[in-house]
This record gives sequence, structure tokens and C-alpha cells, in this order.
Amino acid sequence: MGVEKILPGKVEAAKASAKEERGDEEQLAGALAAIARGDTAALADVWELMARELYALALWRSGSREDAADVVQDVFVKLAKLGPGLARVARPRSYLLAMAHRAAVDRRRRRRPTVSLDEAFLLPADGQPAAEGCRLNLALSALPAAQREAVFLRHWGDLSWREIAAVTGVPTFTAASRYRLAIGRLRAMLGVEP
Amino acid sequence: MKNDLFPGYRLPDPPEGLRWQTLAAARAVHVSPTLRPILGRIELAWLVAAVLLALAHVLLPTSSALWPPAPTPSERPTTATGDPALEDLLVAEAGRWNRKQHRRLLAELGLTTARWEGDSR
Repeated sequence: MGVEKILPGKVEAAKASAKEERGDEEQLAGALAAIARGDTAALADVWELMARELYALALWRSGSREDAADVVQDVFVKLAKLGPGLARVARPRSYLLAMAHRAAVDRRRRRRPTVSLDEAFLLPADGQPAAEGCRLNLALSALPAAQREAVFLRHWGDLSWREIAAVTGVPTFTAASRYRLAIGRLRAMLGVEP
Repeated sequence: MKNDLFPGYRLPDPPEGLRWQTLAAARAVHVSPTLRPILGRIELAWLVAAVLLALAHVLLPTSSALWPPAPTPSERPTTATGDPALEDLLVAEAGRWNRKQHRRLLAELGLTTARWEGDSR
């Protein structure tokens, strides 16, 4: 099962490969600049670059597939409304993730989420036993939303503690603490030795 | 996106149709740079206030100069009964009383002359 790989050293390996995504960051900056100039076709470029990550972040934060879809739509509508204001965005990826975070928090306040197996945070790839996937998703659903979000941003988003803090609007120590607490709880629930 | 923590698993994709729905909604509200207002609401409010103040400075003195002068007693409208207005009657009575007192004072002082009499009448 994949959860045996929950080790702090893996974070360093993820950081080493993060440079490959810098090209995406530049493409994203170009797309936002195009939207700022009035090119609505660039919205599709932003979709290709960020939609999957925004959707996943919203799902991990809200725990609802329906809310996650609404969050993605909210983010793109806000992007379009900002128009020329997007030219001043310095770090587009963090900016978009922060928008998704705020939209997901707003939607979560309005409705208590319910997570079913159809609304899984992770889907098993080829060859993975379904039972293990269910166990993993149940463990993730048992985490507080803020901790689950910290795991997503640190692991899937490959953000630094400072970037996670900026996206979620909390102090850096709080962001790191949430991640460590989440990993500890996941280990305990899945029976993985530290 | 990286996946070292949960190997063998992937994130769920956005639902079918969300791409089209989202992009259509975003394009519908897109703010074009050419259509964006130059002034914000606050600046617009200040501009309107300044224009109104300037107009007031120009129009008020002009309009007061254009007002018609106060009508003379003869031009004033009469009352519904056809009598002169009360103000005209009071002014006339006050004038008569003033001339009468003036003559009395001159008589007491022995200064009654034809000229005074003629003048006072």
C-alpha cells in the first residue's frame, strides 16, 4: 500500500523536482497577462494549467465534489472580473490557490460537507486494491479540513511552508504544524510506524 | 503535481462539463480593459460634487440678478374685496400721523409758517 511511503524525507525529493514546474508558472503568468489585456481565450489556458489542481484543493478543503466544482467556477469568474487588475499579480499559482482556498472556506461555512465513497479525495491508479483506497480516503476524510488542505498544498502542490501560509492566510508555524499533525494522525489511523 | 506521499493513487479530475460551464460563465463577466471605468465610485462622487459646487457659484448670482424688482404699492395686487393691501394702508396712515405730529411740534415751538405748512402738506 502506498501509505507506507508517508515519510518526511519524501518532501525533499518533491522539492528537487519542483523546478520542472517553473515553466508552468511562467505560462500561467503569460495567460493571466493575456486576460488582463482582454484576451478571453487565455482563460482556457489557465484552465489547462490549473483547473485540476484548483478542483483537487477545493475538494480536499470542502470535502464535497459539488462544492469543489462551484469553487473552480467561482475562481474563474473572479479572474474574469478582475480583468486588467491581473497584470499586477506577482505569483500567479499561489494567487489562484489562495482564491480557491477562500472560496472553499466560504462554501464550507455555508454547508456541512458529507463525504461519500463517490467523493473520494484520491482515486486508486491501475493495480491498486479498492479496499486500500477506501481506507485511505476514510482516513483523509477524518482529518480536519485545514489539516487535509495543508497536506494537499505541501505534498501535491509542492509549496513551501511560507507559501502555504500565504495561501491559507495563517502564520508559517501554523501551516507547518497543521501538516505535521495531519501526517501523525494519518499514520495512527493507517497503522504506519513513524 | 507531485505524488510521493501516496504512490499508486491519483487526484480526481473535475467533472465532465465543468470546463465548458466555467469558461462560459467567466467569459460572460469578463471586464474588458477598454470598457473599464476610468474613475472609481469615490472619484466619481467627488467629481460630481465639484461640478455641482461650480454650477452653484455661477448660477446663483446670475439668477438673483434676474429676479424682478419688488413691486411698488400701486403695482401690488389688491385684496379679494378690492381694497388696497393692508401694508399700503398702514404706510399711508403712518405718513399722515407723522405729518400731524410734525405740525403739532412746530406749533408748540411757535415755528408755524406757511412754508412749513405748505411743505408738510
